[in-house]
Amino acid sequence: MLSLAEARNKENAFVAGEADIIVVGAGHAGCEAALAAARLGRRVLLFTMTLDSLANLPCNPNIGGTAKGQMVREIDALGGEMGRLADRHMIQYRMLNATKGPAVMSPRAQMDRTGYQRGMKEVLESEPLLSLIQQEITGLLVAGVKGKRKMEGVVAATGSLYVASEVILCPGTFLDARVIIGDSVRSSGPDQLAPACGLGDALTALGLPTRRFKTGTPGRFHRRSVDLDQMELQAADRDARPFSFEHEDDPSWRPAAELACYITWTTDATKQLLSDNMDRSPLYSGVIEGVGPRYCPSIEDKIVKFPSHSRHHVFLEPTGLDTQEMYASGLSTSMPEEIQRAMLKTVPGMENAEMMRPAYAIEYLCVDPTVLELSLEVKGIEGLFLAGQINGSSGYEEAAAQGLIAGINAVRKQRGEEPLIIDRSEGYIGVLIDDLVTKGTNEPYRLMTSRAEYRLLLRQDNADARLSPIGYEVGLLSEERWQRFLEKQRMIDGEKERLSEVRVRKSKLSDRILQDAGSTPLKSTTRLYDLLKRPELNYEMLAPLDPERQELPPSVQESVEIQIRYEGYLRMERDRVERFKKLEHKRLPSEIDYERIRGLRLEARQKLSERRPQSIGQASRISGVSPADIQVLLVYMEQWNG
Amino acid sequence: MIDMDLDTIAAFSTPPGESGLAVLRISGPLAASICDRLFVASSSRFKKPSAMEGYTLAHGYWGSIDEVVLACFRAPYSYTGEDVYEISCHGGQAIRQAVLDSVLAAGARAAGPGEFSRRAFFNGKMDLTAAEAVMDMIGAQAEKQAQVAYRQLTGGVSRVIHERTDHLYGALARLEMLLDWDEEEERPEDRELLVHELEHSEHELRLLADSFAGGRIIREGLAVVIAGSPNVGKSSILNALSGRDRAIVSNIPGTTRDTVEIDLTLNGYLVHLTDTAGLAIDSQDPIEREGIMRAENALRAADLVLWVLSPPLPPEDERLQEETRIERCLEEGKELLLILGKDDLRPTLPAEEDPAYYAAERFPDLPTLTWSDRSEDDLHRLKEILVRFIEGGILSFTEETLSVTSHEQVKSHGEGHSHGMLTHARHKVAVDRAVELVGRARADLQAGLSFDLVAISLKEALTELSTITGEDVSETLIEKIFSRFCIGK
Ligand SMILES: Cc1cc2nc3c(=O)[nH]c(=O)nc-3n(C[C@H](O)[C@H](O)[C@H](O)COP(=O)(O)OP(=O)(O)OC[C@H]3O[C@@H](n4cnc5c(N)ncnc54)[C@H](O)[C@@H]3O)c2cc1C
Ligand SMILES: Nc1nc2c(ncn2[C@@H]2O[C@H](COP(=O)(O)OP(=O)(O)OP(=O)(O)O)[C@@H](O)[C@H]2O)c(=O)[nH]1
Ligand SMILES: [Mg+2]
Repeated sequence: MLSLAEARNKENAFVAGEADIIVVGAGHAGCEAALAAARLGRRVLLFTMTLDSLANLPCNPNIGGTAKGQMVREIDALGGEMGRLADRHMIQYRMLNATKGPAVMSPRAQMDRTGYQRGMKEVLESEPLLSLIQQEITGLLVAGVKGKRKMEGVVAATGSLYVASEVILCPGTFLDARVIIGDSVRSSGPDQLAPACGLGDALTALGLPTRRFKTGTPGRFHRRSVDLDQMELQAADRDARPFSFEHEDDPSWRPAAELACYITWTTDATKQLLSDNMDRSPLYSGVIEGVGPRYCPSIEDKIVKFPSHSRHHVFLEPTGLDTQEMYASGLSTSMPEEIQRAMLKTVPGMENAEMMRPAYAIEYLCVDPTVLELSLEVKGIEGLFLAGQINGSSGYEEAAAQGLIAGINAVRKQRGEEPLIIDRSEGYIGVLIDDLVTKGTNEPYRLMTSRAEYRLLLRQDNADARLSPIGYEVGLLSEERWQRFLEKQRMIDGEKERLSEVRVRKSKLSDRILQDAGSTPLKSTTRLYDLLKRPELNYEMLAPLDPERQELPPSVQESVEIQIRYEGYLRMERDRVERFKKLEHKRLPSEIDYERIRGLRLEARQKLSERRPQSIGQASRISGVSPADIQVLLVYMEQWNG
Repeated sequence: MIDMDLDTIAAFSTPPGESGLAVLRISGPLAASICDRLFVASSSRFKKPSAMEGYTLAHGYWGSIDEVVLACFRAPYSYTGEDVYEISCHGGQAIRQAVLDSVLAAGARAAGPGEFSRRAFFNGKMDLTAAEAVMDMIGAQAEKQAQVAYRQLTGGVSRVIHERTDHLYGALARLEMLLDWDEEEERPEDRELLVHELEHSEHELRLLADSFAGGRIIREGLAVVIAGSPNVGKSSILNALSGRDRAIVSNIPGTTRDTVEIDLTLNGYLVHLTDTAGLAIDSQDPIEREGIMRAENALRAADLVLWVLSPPLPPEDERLQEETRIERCLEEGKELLLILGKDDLRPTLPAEEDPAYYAAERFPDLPTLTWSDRSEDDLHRLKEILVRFIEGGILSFTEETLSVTSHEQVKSHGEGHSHGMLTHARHKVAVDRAVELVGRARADLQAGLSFDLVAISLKEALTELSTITGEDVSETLIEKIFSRFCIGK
């Protein structure tokens, strides 16, 4: 590991560039990180293996989904790019779980894949302080000794040096990547892109704990060759809604297209075929060593683990406006091409499918995220930030969220400001980062709503309310947008206030309206506010009883309705948050020597010394630290302060 | 997760056992309001507990349970530095339990080990050396708890808790699967299935909660009181069960005048056996009257009453009074086993004098056991029934408890047979909360509330239970989701 001074002293040393912040990798994490930093006024260098594939969607061509959709709206509220861009390139919109409650309603949109990539390139290119560079980064410039290191820049494959005091690594699934299809194992990144070789060694040399994870993707098939008529159609929602606050309630905004997806099923024959050939699966033959995600099993995995299921879903999804390729969700596999082709014959509607890209598994190097601070900076290495798949996460949205936070925090560090840490009660972004950093992960981590303890507070409809104030304070929201946000909040409060004053008298009209809605007639004069709490009623239905009502934007109506209807539950959740914060905000000084604290159990001492949590709350979420250990810590802290 | 100073905690500061006096300590912001609700001052001279100042005492009643002295220590002049109230009540197990239950029901939480000391420390009531001692103590207790936890994990109790919570995990896993992975709109059958699963878990958790009484019995012993008219053979039963000549037996009615107590173990279970003076009517003899008073007191504290009816049956008026007494016992919720004594004499009796006929007519719902002090078999049977009663864990008779053949030897049923019992008040409180939350979730489902809300109550229920099992709810849940449902496209 060289320092900048040492590297400079070498023969032919060449410093090719200097900036405030260097971002390595232009995937979803890197793009957000670079944009945030540049928009906050820093000079940024953004490196990518190739300029022809920025913000690639190498797997499922969609953005959003359960928990992820909420998070895209959070990214938007903080001033990130993903939501805005997704709005421009969506070709199918659906609100998932629309009937299962406001906490889990999750927007998801199918993307025009290349449109999204081109769009991101345009955005990056038009950012004045941001320079995009096609260069593989193979080394890091680091000064100091173990425990007290400091970033000084990076080294490119060409040998050129690039200098910056803050470096954000977002190399995604490219580090020492291997692509596996049956017996064929090649050193390659996703989509035949070149793998990154060298950077992984640099991380190991720094002493960072690394491991190999695995993920996979199904094949792509020519549209003309699949018999979509044989399949069940899944249409786009009629009333598409944008991810970004900037397009919210804007009548001129429309999705780029409203295409359908198609559903078919595997058959007994599929099961038979795969079972008969299981010995050819690299998953079971031992070729694949990396740990794969349980939530994204390959088809052979599903058949082994759930032998009682006779069939499995397959979704055929469009991948863009400029292509005939269709993505076959559900058929992810690493079986040899021969078996893949044979398998198609067993799936109704796919018997004659023309395979344009085979399915494959990919194994890559990533870092144990428990070496990070909640700011995403590596403990003990000043100025080194990690974001995205390198932290053991998986998913475009998860990557983007981390990139945004790392970008913001690199800037704040340079400005000497406190890092931005989103609380678990403030956003899924907080849940994601805290889970990774505090608990670590043994498989590629995907966000789920069940990981949040305050799910009812972390809704898609209030992502703006939760995080816009932070985005504005950080400096990524424009004044105009901020004013529009304040106006929306005023409208919500005003309407709630009004509804609590309008009284409905019992009348023929009210009886009829309520009965038509399946509700009981009024017994006495009732406030509209209280009527809205009846589960069978909604804002819309009450219009005839509310003649003074002014037309309000749909997003305002939605918020008013949810806030009134779930008032009691929301209050309970907020009370729980209050209690949680008491612990969460008891900071643990970084210099504590856990080995010397009497009363801590051995395992707790080890875990705490290793992880070095930043607060009591964080400590309490580390597995192996018991409530009794937390009590000991609390007592110890009192002494410390006293 | 713990929160420091928001809640109010309560625990006895005197050790369990039949000490004369017990002191229950309540500390925290709700202490005063809890006492306001439950304490009735014995005279109007005393202030309401919340109005008591500094260090004050008041006499009165705790609910309707017992006569007590209430001591108030106002924050910050108390052991913990918070508002502390101490209730001194009588030391009997039943009273202790009732007083503690009422305080927990009124909003206090059962204090964990070392919790009073910890609060004392945080409120600056302890110096540094004392604090170190507290840390050591918490640490040591944690070790001990870890051992206990391990034992529980390998033992029957914990297995049962796991089994019972498994259904609940299953239900929540299904719900979470629907929320995170299903992506489709709700189907009516989803809701029906969930309601069904929750009914099942609610039932299981209720059984678990009910086992607490049994758990206490295992920990502290079963209080059995032998009662009945004079000369029916009560003292003979005490002697037979204890295998010792503890009480005087004679054919003179009224031989036993005071209560006679003896502790014995049956298959390792502790039994506190009390023989009482025969309950004669309208006795003028002051000693006999005192004896009857004591008998009645003993009955009040009993977990199980062996009521002895032997030939010859007493005259009509005495019989009526006896019936009233039996009924009163039943009203107080006592478990009664009718012992049809002196069975060896029955073959010679006309039906109208046979206690078996009498019992069948007057108390058809009560379990009966025929008994003769001459029969080894009867002794075995009685012992066997007592053991099963304890192991049944629910403090009431079931078919199974009573279906003992006379040839069956007394033997322990061990783990395999035991229903798994809650032995700690803290656990009982947690399970009760869980039952309540699962019930709420089920009601919410039936009322048509959305799944996300239902999930809140269920997760909270599991979090309560995790204070017993020590599981990480989130992780366990995710584990279950992935192992039960085929997820992912
Ligand atoms: C086959 C496959 C299947 C997947 N399946 C799923 C799935 O089912 N579900 C899911 O949620 N997610 C899936 N993903 C993951 C998803 O694609 C990633 O989580 C997401 O793209 C990660 O974003 P990132 O920004 O961290 O990295 P990436 O999007 O991978 O971007 C990495 C960027 O870094 C650049 N780079 C890497 N190394 C260097 C270097 N040394 N020097 C310069 N530039 C470098 C690359 O050129 C690229 O621009 C899959 C990915 C693949 C490849
Ligand atoms: N035949 C017969 N006699 C019994 C039996 N049990 C007790 N006796 C006799 O009944 C008489 C009374 O027995 P106790 O055990 O003293 O009766 P008790 O109910 O304790 O009497 P008090 O203490 O006076 O109320 C004694 O003479 C016993 O020997 C029995 O099972 N069969
Ligand atoms: Mg006697």
